[in-house]
Amino acid sequence: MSGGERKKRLLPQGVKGWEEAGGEFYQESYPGAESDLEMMQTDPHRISTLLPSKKNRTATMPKDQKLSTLRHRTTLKPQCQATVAPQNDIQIALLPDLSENLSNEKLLWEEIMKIKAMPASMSQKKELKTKLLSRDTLRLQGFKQFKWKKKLSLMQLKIHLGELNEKLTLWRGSLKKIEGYYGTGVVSFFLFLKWLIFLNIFISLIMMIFVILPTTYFKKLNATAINTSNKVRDNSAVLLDQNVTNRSEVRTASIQTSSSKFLDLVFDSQSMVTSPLYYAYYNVDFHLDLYYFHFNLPLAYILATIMCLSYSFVSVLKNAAHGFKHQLLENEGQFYAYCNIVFSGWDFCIRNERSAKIKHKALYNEIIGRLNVEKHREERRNRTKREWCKLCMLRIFVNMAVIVFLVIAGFVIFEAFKMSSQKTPTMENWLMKVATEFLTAGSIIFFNLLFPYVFQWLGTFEKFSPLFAVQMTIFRTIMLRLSSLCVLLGSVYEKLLRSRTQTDDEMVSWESYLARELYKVLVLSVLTQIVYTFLFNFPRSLLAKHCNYKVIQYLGRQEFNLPGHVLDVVYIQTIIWLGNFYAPLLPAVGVLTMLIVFYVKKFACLVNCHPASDVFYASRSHSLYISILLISFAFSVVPWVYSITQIPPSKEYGPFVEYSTVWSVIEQMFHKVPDWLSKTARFGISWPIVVLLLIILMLTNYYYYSVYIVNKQMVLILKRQLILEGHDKQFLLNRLSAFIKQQQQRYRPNNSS
Amino acid sequence: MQLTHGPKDYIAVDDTEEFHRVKLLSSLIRTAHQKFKALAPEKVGHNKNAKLPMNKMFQYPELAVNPFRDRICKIFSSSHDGDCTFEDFLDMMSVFSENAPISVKAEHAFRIYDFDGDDMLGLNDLRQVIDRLTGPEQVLSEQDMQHLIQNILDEADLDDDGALSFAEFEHVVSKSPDFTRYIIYDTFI
Repeated sequence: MSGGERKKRLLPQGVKGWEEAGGEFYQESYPGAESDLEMMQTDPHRISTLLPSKKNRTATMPKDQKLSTLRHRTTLKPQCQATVAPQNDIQIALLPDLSENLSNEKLLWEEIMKIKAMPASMSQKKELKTKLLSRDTLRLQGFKQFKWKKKLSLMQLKIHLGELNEKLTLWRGSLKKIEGYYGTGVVSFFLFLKWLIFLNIFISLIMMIFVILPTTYFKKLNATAINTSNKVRDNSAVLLDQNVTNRSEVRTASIQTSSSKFLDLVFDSQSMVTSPLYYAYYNVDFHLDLYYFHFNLPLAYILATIMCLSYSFVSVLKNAAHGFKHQLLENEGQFYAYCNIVFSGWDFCIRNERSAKIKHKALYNEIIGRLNVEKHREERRNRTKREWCKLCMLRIFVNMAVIVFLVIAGFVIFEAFKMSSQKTPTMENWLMKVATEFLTAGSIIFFNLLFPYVFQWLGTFEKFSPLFAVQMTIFRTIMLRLSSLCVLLGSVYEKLLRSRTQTDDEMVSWESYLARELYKVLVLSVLTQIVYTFLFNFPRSLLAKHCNYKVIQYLGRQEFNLPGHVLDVVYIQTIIWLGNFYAPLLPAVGVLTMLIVFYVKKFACLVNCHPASDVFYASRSHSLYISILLISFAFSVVPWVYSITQIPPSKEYGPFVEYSTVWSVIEQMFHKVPDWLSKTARFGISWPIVVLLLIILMLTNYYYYSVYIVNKQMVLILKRQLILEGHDKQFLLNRLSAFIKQQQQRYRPNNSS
Repeated sequence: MQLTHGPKDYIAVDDTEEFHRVKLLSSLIRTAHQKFKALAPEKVGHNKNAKLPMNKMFQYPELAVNPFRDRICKIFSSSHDGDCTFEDFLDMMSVFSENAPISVKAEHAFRIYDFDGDDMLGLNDLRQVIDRLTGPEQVLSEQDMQHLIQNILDEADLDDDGALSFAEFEHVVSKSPDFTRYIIYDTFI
């Protein structure tokens, strides 16, 4: 820093000198050659800065602008000199001359907009603009004028809308605050959460419009119809008719007598049939015709679910493509890792002194870490066979341990499920009831909380590079989370198989049963997050802040463990996807829970935690989230597809009572469509067409692959050539400066004599 | 440019219009002006062309903790000594805003890092950049520093002349996915 200051003070005159000279250098006729020579005589080394490749301002300009610069400079330059300070002169001179060929307003406007993209200071830009405006311009005529006016007003409108949008953006303030404390890496997590919330809002809107609202509407319509007919008809006959309505009335009565409504939603196995939260509510035992409109509930139900899932898939993929582009750039840019740290290392959003200190430290750690990785690599190359074998054994052992832990977790969850499903009638105490009901969900959550720490601890033995170790831990944790859900699905399936031989009150609608389990896991996971954050971590952070004992500080200090928080959110999303079909209201509940989670995480981030000492880069972490999300999407779709194609739906409740499998609805719909359509569709999926498409796909793939290879080689060749050119240049420069020195020596005797 | 609207929004209409068309949105300019005024209310309140000295500029929250704050002020100051007028301040904001094109950002970043002003990032420039990045409390050992600089030059110095020219700098920076994100002053909440 002090060195820089000293240099600064020394330099100004020199800078001015070469800049002026640099400006002259570009004129076609090189009229400044004499001044160049003079300058070179005073300092031969200065010549290197005159080379075209060392110029920054010209290099930034797009090609066409550069051309026009060269062409028109001479016309603009004399006018500028009168108004602008001399050291800014070349900047102006190198900017494109926009003053010529201005035929009409539109072109003028476009030229003015071009000024925006120039790296010059505002006063210079204003200068240029006034110059442009003072020129004579032609007005557009007729239709063109109209079009131009329209374009202008549209642009204005866009700006205003953008302003409005800026004001309405959700959580702008919160995000900004987090950014100020933790930098862009952590904010990207919150943006990810926000994106998921919007995705879920969209999904729940689809379910609302196509399934939930029509069903409730028709049910109500039906109920009133039955009530009016009630008066006319015999009572007993009606009783048969309104089987469901009656049942629900009885049930609501019992709900009000026993305890609060929420608890009954959870415990009462009959509520699975009457609440719109669950699959069984969407029954077809009522009239679905309104005037000429026929509402086909089964079809709407399955199509809405497919729509939701495919919409999520497309938007995740879109995001993933974006992320992978960055990843590719980064992978290719492994060469640029150090430049990335140094040139874009500082997070310019940080506005808090403590965070700034930590950022300094984090950058230092990152640099040292990278250098150490290189040393580590060197070390690995020098590793002896024996050490290598030892490490291998250790890694195998760690992986075995992880698998053992996973199996234990699965077994315990399975046992818990069995226990909670074998309800004994003696349990009158409601607390016991809650405990048994939430036993499965609770054990899942328990393992989710505990095992990541275990995995992290195990990971330290493996001696992977730090980045890979983090990825390994994330991978193992996600395996744990998904496998615990797997066990849940498996045990529900097992129970379903059992219920075929022996009657089970809860399994009258197994879909609703599964939905209820998922609701439980969702609610409980959010509850634990709240409890964990406010009742466990918050006191810890208070202790760390106000106690001076080292032990307590060590125990109380928390870092914002980004991967863990990401997994929490992805887990919620997985549950939503998994249960979307069985519980149409689950996405809406998911939106609610995610809103809560946002504030919980914000609290955890701003109040509880210290910034982590690892650097989280926004780009790197984003692609990580998306790949985790893709894995869990695949995980949640596979069981669903299996269930709709293979498992028969429950026989008493739900929209699919008349069908052998859910998929047969789609098949039936296919039979109803016009002949030509089904024929073309069948033709489209016949084997010759598919094979043809496959071959075309492979050929295009191959084409792009070969283009890639060629380009890669080209890049290598060009790079080599560039280095050669650089050497050439240096050689020439050396020659030139030697020559100039020679000249100087020849002149000097003449001058003295 | 008369003070017809009272001291609060005295940026006259034509002036606002001017900026509106060229650079930013009018309401944003007002917000920016309020922020600028907040740095030294007694000075800016009366004089439109008030010039704030560099240490006043450092009170701006993002600048306060930025290791390159003196460089930033100097680059944007129209008098090249770090003192900034409101126009300079606006300039700074627009370059660091989300919407500025990456070429403009790269240009300014290059000038910030170019400590000795010779239009090349030489060994000393790099050394200073790294020193400022790691902060005063942690200092890289000489060996590590040399190793690091060597690595940077290996990566980016395409023509092998021991310094980074602007073209090389821009090439590297445009490949860095975090560059656009990092140089963001999102000043306007």
